[in-house]
Parts: sequence; C-alpha cells; structure tokens
Amino acid sequence: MRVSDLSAASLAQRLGGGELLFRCGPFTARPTTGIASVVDNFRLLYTDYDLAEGFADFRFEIAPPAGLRRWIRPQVLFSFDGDRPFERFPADQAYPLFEWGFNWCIASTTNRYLIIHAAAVERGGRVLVLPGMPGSGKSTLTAALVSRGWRLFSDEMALVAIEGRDIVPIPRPISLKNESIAVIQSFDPAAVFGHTSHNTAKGSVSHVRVLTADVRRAGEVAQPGWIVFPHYESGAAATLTPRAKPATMLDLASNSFNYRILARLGFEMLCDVVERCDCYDFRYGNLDEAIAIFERLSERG
Amino acid sequence: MGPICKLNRLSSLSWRQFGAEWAFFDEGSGDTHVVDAVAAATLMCIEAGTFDASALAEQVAVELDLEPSEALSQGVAASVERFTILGLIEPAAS
Amino acid sequence: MNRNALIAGALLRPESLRRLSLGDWENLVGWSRAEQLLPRIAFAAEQLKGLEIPPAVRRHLDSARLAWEGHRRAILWDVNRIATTLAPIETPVVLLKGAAYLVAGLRPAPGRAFSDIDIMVRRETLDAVETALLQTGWQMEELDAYDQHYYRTWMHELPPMQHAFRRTVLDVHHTIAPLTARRAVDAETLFAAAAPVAGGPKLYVLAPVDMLLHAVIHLMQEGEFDKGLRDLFDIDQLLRQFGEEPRFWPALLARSAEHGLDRPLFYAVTQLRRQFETPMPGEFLEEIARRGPPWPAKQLMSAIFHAGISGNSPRLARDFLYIRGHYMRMPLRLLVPHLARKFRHRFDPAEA
Repeated sequence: MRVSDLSAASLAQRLGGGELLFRCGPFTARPTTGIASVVDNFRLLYTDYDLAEGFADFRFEIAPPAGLRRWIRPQVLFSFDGDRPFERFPADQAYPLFEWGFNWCIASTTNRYLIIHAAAVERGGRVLVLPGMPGSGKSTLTAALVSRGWRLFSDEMALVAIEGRDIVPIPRPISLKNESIAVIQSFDPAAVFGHTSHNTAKGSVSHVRVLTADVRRAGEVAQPGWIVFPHYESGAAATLTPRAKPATMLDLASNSFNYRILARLGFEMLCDVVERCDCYDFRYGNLDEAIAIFERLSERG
Repeated sequence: MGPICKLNRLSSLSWRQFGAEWAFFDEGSGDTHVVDAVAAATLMCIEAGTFDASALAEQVAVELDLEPSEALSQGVAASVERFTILGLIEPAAS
Repeated sequence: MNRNALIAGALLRPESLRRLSLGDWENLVGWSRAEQLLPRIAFAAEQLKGLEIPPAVRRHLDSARLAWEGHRRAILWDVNRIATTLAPIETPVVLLKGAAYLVAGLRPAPGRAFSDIDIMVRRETLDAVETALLQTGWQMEELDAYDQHYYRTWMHELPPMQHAFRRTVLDVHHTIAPLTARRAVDAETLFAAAAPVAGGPKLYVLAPVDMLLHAVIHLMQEGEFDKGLRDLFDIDQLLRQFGEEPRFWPALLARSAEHGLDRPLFYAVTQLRRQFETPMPGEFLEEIARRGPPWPAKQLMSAIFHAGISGNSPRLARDFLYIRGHYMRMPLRLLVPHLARKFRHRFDPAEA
C-alpha cells in the first residue's frame, strides 16, 4: 500500500495521530503533525512512497509550541522523541523543517552506513557523487540531472554500505533555494514542486517531487563511479579537472557525518570508494553544458 | 645519539598507498593524514620499533632504497617533529 | 508504559529486554536515545546471552554502540594529551566524573554519555596549567569580566577551555565545590586520598567515597536537572561497585559529615531507592535518614527532586530545581544579579 492509496482525510488523520509509518530507502519513519502545510506537502511529495508495518526507525513531530507563539507570529517546533535539536521556526517554514528534521534524524544516528554530505545520482549502474560544498549548486545540478535521465539516490546524503561499498538510495524530495527554483521550473517544466517557504535562513525554499520510478527503485544499490566537486560560477565554461585521490579522500572524510565514528572501517571504505572512482573538480555556469559533460562521462564508462 | 621515540601507546595505524603518497588513519587520535614517502617510511619504522634519530634516518634510507643523505635526514627529522606535535610519537620511557 | 519506567526498567532489570514487543523496543530505542541512554541499553542487551533482538532494532543499538566507542577513543586520547602537557607541572592531575570512570574502568563508564573532560589540579598551579594548555592548542572562550570573575573567583574552575581542532571542552577545577558555597570542600583531603591510574603521567582519580560524593554534589547542586536520570544512574552504578566492600558505607558516612554533604547525600539516597532500588545496608539507611532535614522540608524537597528527575515535571519544578542549584553554590546576596544574566543567556535564541 502507498501513501496515494489513502484518502486525504485518512492521511491527515494518521499523520495527526502519529499512525503513519512509511518507508524511505532503507529507513522507516513515523512522523506526527497536524500542521496543514506539512500534511499537504507530504501528500503531494510522498505520494508514491510505500507504507510500512512494524518498527519505525525514526519518530518525529512538527507541531506548534505551547503558549503564545502558537497564535501570535506563529512558530513550529521539531522534536525527535522529545529531543529538540533546533530552535523554533516561523510556521511558514513548517515543511522545510520537516525535511531538515528528517535529515537530522538520519545523519545524527546512523552508523550502519558511512554518510557523506553529497548528492548522488546513478546512470548505467554507476553512481555520480557530488559532495556538497556551499555555493556549489549541487541541488540544482541534481534536479537537472534527474530530469535528464539520471536516477536520484539523494540530494543530501550519499550512503556508503559497508558490504561491497555500494551507494544506497534514499530518495527524498530535492530541496531548491531562491533562483534555483525558477531555473529548474524552466529547465524541467514537468517537475512537480511543493509549496515555497520564504525568509528561511537560506532564503526561499521549495521541494521537487521524486520521480515515481526512482521511488520504486529505491532498493537497487549501485557502485560509486565518479566523485565530482561542483562549483557554480555564472558565465563559466563547463570544465572537468582531474583531482588527486588522497586529497579527495580527505575532503570526503571532512564532508562526512560519521567518518570518525566508523574509524578504521570508515578509512578503508573511503579509500576503496576513491580508488574505484574517477575524481574531478567541476566548474560550470550553464546547466545544459553541465548535463552534456556528465552524459559524456557516463558514456565513457 | 638523538632522542629515542616510539609510537603513542594509544595509536594504531592503517595505511593506504596512492601512488607517491600515503594516507593513514590513527585509531588512537581518530585522525587521518596524507604524507609523502619519507614521512610515511619514517612513521612506519617507528611503528615497527623504537629508534633514535640517526638510526631512524638510516633505516628509512633502507626502506626507500635510497642513499643516506643530509636531505633525507632532514626530511626524517622534520617528520618526527611533525608527528610529535600531533601526539603520534612520544619519547620512549627510559 | 511510562517513559522513565521503561528505560529505568531496562537498565535495572536487563532480563526484561527478553520480553519486549517490537512496539516496546521502538519506544525504548527512541526514548532512551532522547535521554542519551541508548548506548547503555546497547551494553545491557549485549550482556544477555541468547537475547533475540529484531534486526531493525539491532541496527540502532549497533549504531549507538559505535558512536559511544568513538567518544571513548576521543576521551582517552585527550586525557593522554592533557596528561603529557601537564607532566612538567608540580601537580597531580585528578580526573573527575566521566573521564575518571572511563580511565579507571568503573561501572558507570560503558554506554555513558560523555561531554566535557573535568580535571582537578592544585590551586597554586592554575596559572601554569592554563599557560601550558594554551600552548598546546587549547583555547579559552572570550568571556567578559563578569563571567571571568564568576569562574575564577566564585566557582572552582578556570573558564572552560576548548581544543582548537578537536573541539573537546576541558574544565580545570581546583576543588569539587565552589569556594563561595555554604559547603566548601577541603581540596587537600581530596588530593591526599586520590589514587593513581594508568593512562598518562601523574594521573589520578578520587578515592571512592570522594568520587561518590562528587557525583552527588554534581547531581544536586549543578542545577542541570535535565540530565537527572542519567546522573542518578551513574551514582547507582558507583554504589553497586564500591558498595561491595563493606567498609565503604561507614567511610562514606564519615566523609560526608567531614565535607558537610549530609543533606545532598540524603536526597540522592532517597531518589536512588525510588528510581533504581539501589541496594544499601540497613545501618547506612538508618543513619542517613537521621541526617535528613526536618519532616515537611523533607517531603517537599523529595517530591520536587523526584518530579524533576522523572521527566514528567511541570516546568515549575524544573525551574525551581535550577534556582536551588544556584542557591547552593553562592551566598544569597550574590544570587540575584547572576541569575538574571544566566537567564538572559539561557533564553537568548542566538545562544540556543
């Protein structure tokens, strides 16, 4: 059964009561919320996701706080089994908070995989890992790649499995900010967007729905093929520059949430991944050019 | 005779070679480093046993299949100093 | 099942883990994680031979265990580096709290949440200690004159230091209760009774009775009751370990009287019996009851401490405990201006 099989009323009721368990990649989650914008966005963006039975890896809640701020300049609060890692957010940002909070749950607790702060998309059985340096435009690039035939693994977290060093999909709505929203709306008119929140710490934020096929194939892992550090620069010609592997290994380690926890195992895993991949820096100013470069990479095999 | 040094008793090293460079992870400190061949050979020798400065330079030369030289000795000494600051190497107990 | 009952039950009677449903496990994992007690549950589960844990649950226990091992390695490394840095200075380095439990291999250590490293050195060496640490990558937060004064003069420690790269926070004390508290502790007696430990040059831990009393002071007087159940569990574990030696109990009573800590010890004992049923000899319980406060105060304080620790307290109980914590540390005349500043920090969203 899927989220789409539930009526709007039933979905709202289950979410309100914390009775909806859904699967996302290797995890299951049981969120609770009565906030309309979260319910509506969830219904739109998670429509294809499977419901689940049994154990919830993560239980979290998006709710208004007690007291005045429930009504006056309303706020929302994220809690994770009673723990509150974030300050309060304006109510308009309830849905982004849902996504950030879900990221937090995964990244702060999971040591079953090595988690790199990177986007990951797949083509021809190999995964393109895009580490998420600030200002890189990786999410925009990810949304564009997805619209041109690459399978989404994640726009935020590349999960590396201990067995075989496979990359594991955890497809979630792609979060886009500010100008990127309009860019992708124009680049990919078929993309389905959720509600746009304004005035967040990162500006305006909206989310692109994952393609049905990518949700269906979330159980299919793949080997890492390329590690590309993107740098968006307006007007720049698309250029791939090979990158030294040892330095790449260090950069991945410092972009990982749990490298130090995995210790020697994490070291071996990252060394293996870097050995198997072609590693590059990538400067680009135009999405079409960027896509073409990655096409050629993929064809070269 | 130079100072005698050994690996920090908490340290345990894992190595990976990438061409002319070596990456290593130290379980004790949780740190990861990338070093050149001279530094790698220096630390590997200390990992294998306890050395004073001159014996160390000789041993590194053997490992790298190089003639002993002033430049090599300086490289070894610089590596020892760097690893000492990082806490990977300590003076051996007397 | 009540949240605290499930967690405390699992810690107190690990056998109960055999009878948990999947729903119980889901609650136990989530709730204990929020209290930073999940690694302890993982250790408890590990001790049970033949315990069948659902794979989905096991993954969470394993992840928590791995994270704990990472913290453990980091603490041991930091202790080693600190001991090496301070070796030339004429002072023992006495490890306190979590670092002590870990380095000395004591019962509270496995699965414990670690935060800062706390050490105690001789007061007259504080300047030399501070200088040596600053030279090896430790940094002191920029504090205004008020806060500097608060730490150095009124409390019992240097302002917290943080390692520039490793981000570990180090608190350097020279005794275990603030000078301006009503109940000052004579640091010399602590040093005299301290026991050496392996892990670095000149490393020590407090004698068992002092270690226990320090844990009690910390629980009762720090005012951080949000960590109540965890800190209480530390004390329970210490008592179960040290209490196996029959001479420990009269020694604890003697030391408590010597340091003027009967009242905090009384309260701790009350909560321990209630939450963890910590085994204690009859004579000890009778004597400690005699040293408790008069009847009405006893009931009221007990109820408030219990509410604070149980995790179900109304906001008021927690605030009252926080205020009391501060009251215990400074004479009343100094309390009010300080409190206002602390609350300003506490509610400033920029510092959340």
